[in-house]
Amino acid sequence: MKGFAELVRQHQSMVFSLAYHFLQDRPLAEDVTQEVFFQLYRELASLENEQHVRFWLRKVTSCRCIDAARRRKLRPRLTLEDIREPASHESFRDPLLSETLRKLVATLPETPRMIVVLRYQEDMDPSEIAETIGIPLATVKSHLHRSLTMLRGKMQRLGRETVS
Amino acid sequence: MNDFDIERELHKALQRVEPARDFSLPFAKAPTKSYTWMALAAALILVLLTPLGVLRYQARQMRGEEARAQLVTALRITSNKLQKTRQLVVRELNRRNSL
Repeated sequence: MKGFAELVRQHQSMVFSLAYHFLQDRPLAEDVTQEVFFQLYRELASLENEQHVRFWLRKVTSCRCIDAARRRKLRPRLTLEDIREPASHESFRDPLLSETLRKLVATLPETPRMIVVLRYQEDMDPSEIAETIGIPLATVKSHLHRSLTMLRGKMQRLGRETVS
Repeated sequence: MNDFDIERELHKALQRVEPARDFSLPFAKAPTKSYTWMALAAALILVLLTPLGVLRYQARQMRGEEARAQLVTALRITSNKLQKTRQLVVRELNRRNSL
Protein backbone atom coordinates (compact mmCIF):
# COMPACT_ATOMS: atom_id res chain seq x y z
CA MET A 1 0.00 0.00 0.00
CA LYS A 2 1.06 3.63 -0.56
CA GLY A 3 2.64 5.87 2.07
CA PHE A 4 0.19 7.56 4.41
CA ALA A 5 0.76 11.12 3.15
CA GLU A 6 0.16 9.91 -0.41
CA LEU A 7 -3.07 8.17 0.63
CA VAL A 8 -4.26 11.42 2.20
CA ARG A 9 -3.38 13.43 -0.93
CA GLN A 10 -5.23 10.88 -3.09
CA HIS A 11 -8.44 10.84 -1.03
CA GLN A 12 -8.63 14.30 0.57
CA SER A 13 -10.76 15.72 -2.23
CA MET A 14 -13.31 12.89 -1.85
CA VAL A 15 -13.47 13.12 1.96
CA PHE A 16 -13.62 16.91 2.03
CA SER A 17 -16.25 17.08 -0.72
CA LEU A 18 -18.49 14.55 1.04
CA ALA A 19 -18.25 16.59 4.22
CA TYR A 20 -18.66 19.93 2.45
CA HIS A 21 -21.64 18.92 0.32
CA PHE A 22 -23.27 17.31 3.34
CA LEU A 23 -22.59 20.04 5.90
CA GLN A 24 -22.48 23.13 3.63
CA ASP A 25 -19.96 24.56 6.06
CA ARG A 26 -16.33 24.75 4.94
CA PRO A 27 -14.60 25.06 8.36
CA LEU A 28 -16.71 22.24 9.80
CA ALA A 29 -16.04 20.11 6.70
CA GLU A 30 -12.30 20.70 7.19
CA ASP A 31 -12.54 19.65 10.84
CA VAL A 32 -14.37 16.46 9.87
CA THR A 33 -11.83 15.73 7.12
CA GLN A 34 -8.95 16.13 9.57
CA GLU A 35 -10.63 13.87 12.15
CA VAL A 36 -11.25 11.21 9.50
CA PHE A 37 -7.59 11.18 8.43
CA PHE A 38 -6.35 11.05 12.03
CA GLN A 39 -8.60 8.06 12.60
CA LEU A 40 -7.28 6.51 9.39
CA TYR A 41 -3.71 7.04 10.65
CA ARG A 42 -4.53 5.08 13.82
CA GLU A 43 -6.35 2.28 12.04
CA LEU A 44 -4.37 1.95 8.81
CA ALA A 45 -2.74 -1.30 9.92
CA SER A 46 -6.14 -3.01 10.00
CA LEU A 47 -6.99 -2.05 6.41
CA GLU A 48 -6.03 -4.58 3.77
CA ASN A 49 -5.77 -2.69 0.48
CA GLU A 50 -6.61 0.57 -1.27
CA GLN A 51 -10.19 -0.48 -2.07
CA HIS A 52 -10.69 -1.23 1.59
CA VAL A 53 -9.26 2.20 2.45
CA ARG A 54 -11.69 3.93 0.06
CA PHE A 55 -14.66 2.00 1.49
CA TRP A 56 -13.50 2.73 5.05
CA LEU A 57 -13.07 6.46 4.30
CA ARG A 58 -16.56 6.79 2.82
CA LYS A 59 -18.10 4.90 5.74
CA VAL A 60 -16.28 6.85 8.47
CA THR A 61 -16.81 10.20 6.71
CA SER A 62 -20.55 9.49 6.41
CA CYS A 63 -20.82 8.62 10.12
CA ARG A 64 -18.79 11.63 11.22
CA CYS A 65 -20.75 14.02 9.00
CA ILE A 66 -24.07 12.78 10.37
CA ASP A 67 -22.71 13.10 13.93
CA ALA A 68 -21.41 16.61 13.23
CA ALA A 69 -24.73 17.68 11.70
CA ARG A 70 -26.66 16.31 14.68
CA ARG A 71 -24.31 18.04 17.12
CA ARG A 72 -24.60 21.41 15.49
CA LYS A 73 -28.19 20.99 14.44
CA LEU A 74 -27.30 22.34 11.03
CA ARG A 75 -30.48 21.37 9.21
CA PRO A 76 -32.87 23.92 10.78
CA ARG A 77 -30.50 26.72 9.75
CA LEU A 78 -31.50 26.34 6.11
CA THR A 79 -35.09 26.53 4.94
CA LEU A 80 -36.62 26.80 1.53
CA GLU A 81 -37.30 30.47 2.19
CA ASP A 82 -33.59 31.15 2.73
CA ILE A 83 -32.69 29.99 -0.73
CA ARG A 84 -32.18 32.62 -3.37
CA GLU A 85 -34.38 31.91 -6.35
CA PRO A 86 -33.09 31.75 -9.91
CA ALA A 87 -33.87 34.95 -11.82
CA SER A 88 -35.68 33.26 -14.71
CA HIS A 89 -36.36 29.93 -16.37
CA GLU A 90 -33.23 30.34 -18.49
CA SER A 91 -31.13 30.84 -15.39
CA PHE A 92 -31.53 27.11 -14.60
CA ARG A 93 -28.51 26.67 -16.83
CA ASP A 94 -26.36 29.10 -14.90
CA PRO A 95 -24.17 28.40 -11.83
CA LEU A 96 -26.96 29.65 -9.55
CA LEU A 97 -28.85 26.47 -10.30
CA SER A 98 -26.12 24.30 -8.78
CA GLU A 99 -25.92 26.55 -5.74
CA THR A 100 -29.71 26.40 -5.30
CA LEU A 101 -29.68 22.64 -5.67
CA ARG A 102 -26.83 22.25 -3.14
CA LYS A 103 -28.79 24.34 -0.66
CA LEU A 104 -31.92 22.29 -1.27
CA VAL A 105 -29.93 19.10 -0.67
CA ALA A 106 -28.76 20.63 2.63
CA THR A 107 -32.39 20.84 3.77
CA LEU A 108 -32.84 17.06 3.53
CA PRO A 109 -32.72 15.05 6.76
CA GLU A 110 -29.28 13.53 7.55
CA THR A 111 -29.61 10.00 6.17
CA PRO A 112 -31.31 10.86 2.84
CA ARG A 113 -28.89 13.78 2.45
CA MET A 114 -25.89 11.49 2.82
CA ILE A 115 -27.45 9.02 0.38
CA VAL A 116 -27.93 11.79 -2.22
CA VAL A 117 -24.35 13.05 -1.74
CA LEU A 118 -22.87 9.55 -2.06
CA ARG A 119 -25.04 8.81 -5.10
CA TYR A 120 -24.32 11.98 -7.06
CA GLN A 121 -20.88 13.03 -5.83
CA GLU A 122 -19.30 9.59 -5.73
CA ASP A 123 -21.53 8.01 -8.38
CA MET A 124 -22.15 5.04 -6.10
CA ASP A 125 -24.99 2.64 -6.81
CA PRO A 126 -27.65 2.03 -4.14
CA SER A 127 -26.18 -1.33 -3.05
CA GLU A 128 -22.76 0.28 -2.42
CA ILE A 129 -24.45 3.08 -0.47
CA ALA A 130 -26.40 0.56 1.61
CA GLU A 131 -23.17 -1.27 2.47
CA THR A 132 -21.31 1.95 3.23
CA ILE A 133 -23.80 3.47 5.62
CA GLY A 134 -25.14 0.18 6.93
CA ILE A 135 -28.82 0.37 6.08
CA PRO A 136 -31.02 -1.93 3.96
CA LEU A 137 -30.95 -1.53 0.19
CA ALA A 138 -34.72 -0.98 0.08
CA THR A 139 -34.35 1.92 2.52
CA VAL A 140 -31.66 3.51 0.35
CA LYS A 141 -33.83 3.22 -2.76
CA SER A 142 -36.83 4.61 -0.93
CA HIS A 143 -34.85 7.59 0.45
CA LEU A 144 -33.39 8.27 -2.99
CA HIS A 145 -36.77 8.17 -4.68
CA ARG A 146 -38.41 10.43 -2.10
CA SER A 147 -35.47 12.86 -2.08
CA LEU A 148 -35.46 13.18 -5.87
CA THR A 149 -39.22 13.70 -5.95
CA MET A 150 -38.94 16.36 -3.26
CA LEU A 151 -35.98 18.13 -4.91
CA ARG A 152 -37.64 18.07 -8.33
CA GLY A 153 -40.85 19.42 -6.84
CA LYS A 154 -39.09 22.25 -5.04
CA MET A 155 -37.08 23.18 -8.12
CA GLN A 156 -40.22 23.23 -10.24
CA ARG A 157 -42.03 25.30 -7.62
CA LEU A 158 -39.15 27.78 -7.56
CA GLY A 159 -39.17 27.90 -11.37
CA ARG A 160 -42.96 28.47 -11.59
CA GLU A 161 -42.85 31.19 -8.94
CA THR A 162 -40.01 32.90 -10.80
CA VAL A 163 -41.75 32.76 -14.17
CA SER A 164 -45.05 34.05 -12.79
CA MET B 1 -39.27 23.07 -16.33
CA ASN B 2 -40.65 19.75 -17.50
CA ASP B 3 -37.40 18.84 -19.24
CA PHE B 4 -35.46 19.49 -16.02
CA ASP B 5 -33.18 16.51 -15.39
CA ILE B 6 -32.69 16.49 -11.64
CA GLU B 7 -30.13 13.67 -11.68
CA ARG B 8 -27.91 15.36 -14.24
CA GLU B 9 -28.11 18.64 -12.31
CA LEU B 10 -27.28 16.88 -9.03
CA HIS B 11 -24.18 15.33 -10.64
CA LYS B 12 -23.11 18.83 -11.68
CA ALA B 13 -23.95 20.45 -8.34
CA LEU B 14 -22.23 17.79 -6.26
CA GLN B 15 -18.94 17.56 -8.14
CA ARG B 16 -15.88 17.07 -5.96
CA VAL B 17 -14.23 20.25 -4.71
CA GLU B 18 -10.62 20.66 -3.68
CA PRO B 19 -10.03 21.59 -0.03
CA ALA B 20 -8.31 24.89 0.67
CA ARG B 21 -5.49 23.17 2.54
CA ASP B 22 -3.46 20.02 2.10
CA PHE B 23 -4.41 17.51 4.81
CA SER B 24 -1.38 15.34 4.03
CA LEU B 25 1.06 17.93 5.43
CA PRO B 26 0.75 16.92 9.12
CA PHE B 27 1.60 13.38 8.07
CA ALA B 28 4.30 14.18 5.53
CA LYS B 29 7.13 13.73 8.02
CA ALA B 30 5.48 11.01 10.06
CA PRO B 31 7.41 7.75 9.90
CA THR B 32 5.76 5.05 7.87
CA LYS B 33 5.07 1.91 9.79
CA SER B 34 8.21 -0.06 9.11
CA TYR B 35 10.43 -2.36 11.05
CA THR B 36 13.56 -1.35 9.11
CA TRP B 37 14.92 0.85 11.87
CA MET B 38 14.20 -1.75 14.49
CA ALA B 39 15.98 -4.40 12.40
CA LEU B 40 18.97 -2.09 11.89
CA ALA B 41 19.18 -1.35 15.63
CA ALA B 42 19.01 -5.05 16.43
CA ALA B 43 21.77 -5.79 13.91
CA LEU B 44 23.92 -3.00 15.37
CA ILE B 45 23.47 -4.33 18.90
CA LEU B 46 24.38 -7.80 17.68
CA VAL B 47 27.50 -6.50 15.93
CA LEU B 48 28.58 -4.68 19.11
CA LEU B 49 27.79 -7.53 21.50
CA THR B 50 29.35 -10.35 19.50
CA PRO B 51 33.00 -9.17 19.92
CA LEU B 52 32.33 -8.52 23.62
CA GLY B 53 31.13 -12.08 24.02
CA VAL B 54 34.13 -13.41 22.15
CA LEU B 55 36.51 -11.35 24.33
CA ARG B 56 34.84 -12.58 27.51
CA TYR B 57 35.09 -16.17 26.28
CA GLN B 58 38.78 -15.73 25.45
CA ALA B 59 39.49 -14.18 28.87
CA ARG B 60 37.82 -17.14 30.58
CA GLN B 61 39.83 -19.54 28.43
CA MET B 62 43.08 -17.74 29.38
CA ARG B 63 42.24 -17.84 33.07
CA GLY B 64 41.57 -21.58 32.73
CA GLU B 65 44.89 -22.13 31.00
CA GLU B 66 46.74 -20.21 33.71
CA ALA B 67 45.02 -22.20 36.47
CA ARG B 68 45.92 -25.44 34.68
CA ALA B 69 49.56 -24.39 34.35
CA GLN B 70 49.70 -23.47 38.06
CA LEU B 71 48.19 -26.83 39.00
CA VAL B 72 50.74 -28.66 36.83
CA THR B 73 53.60 -26.72 38.48
CA ALA B 74 52.22 -27.46 41.94
CA LEU B 75 51.91 -31.16 41.10
CA ARG B 76 55.47 -31.18 39.73
CA ILE B 77 56.83 -29.58 42.92
CA THR B 78 54.88 -32.02 45.06
CA SER B 79 56.12 -34.91 42.97
CA ASN B 80 59.76 -33.73 43.32
CA LYS B 81 59.41 -33.41 47.06
CA LEU B 82 57.84 -36.88 47.35
CA GLN B 83 60.68 -38.27 45.23
CA LYS B 84 63.31 -36.72 47.49
CA THR B 85 61.52 -37.96 50.61
CA ARG B 86 61.33 -41.44 49.14
CA GLN B 87 65.06 -41.39 48.33
CA LEU B 88 65.83 -40.35 51.93
CA VAL B 89 63.64 -43.14 53.32
CA VAL B 90 65.26 -45.73 51.01
CA ARG B 91 68.72 -44.50 51.93
CA GLU B 92 67.89 -44.70 55.66
CA LEU B 93 66.48 -48.23 55.30
CA ASN B 94 69.61 -49.36 53.41
CA ARG B 95 71.83 -47.89 56.12
CA ARG B 96 69.88 -49.72 58.85
CA ASN B 97 70.01 -52.99 56.95
CA SER B 98 73.75 -52.70 56.51
CA LEU B 99 74.25 -52.42 60.29
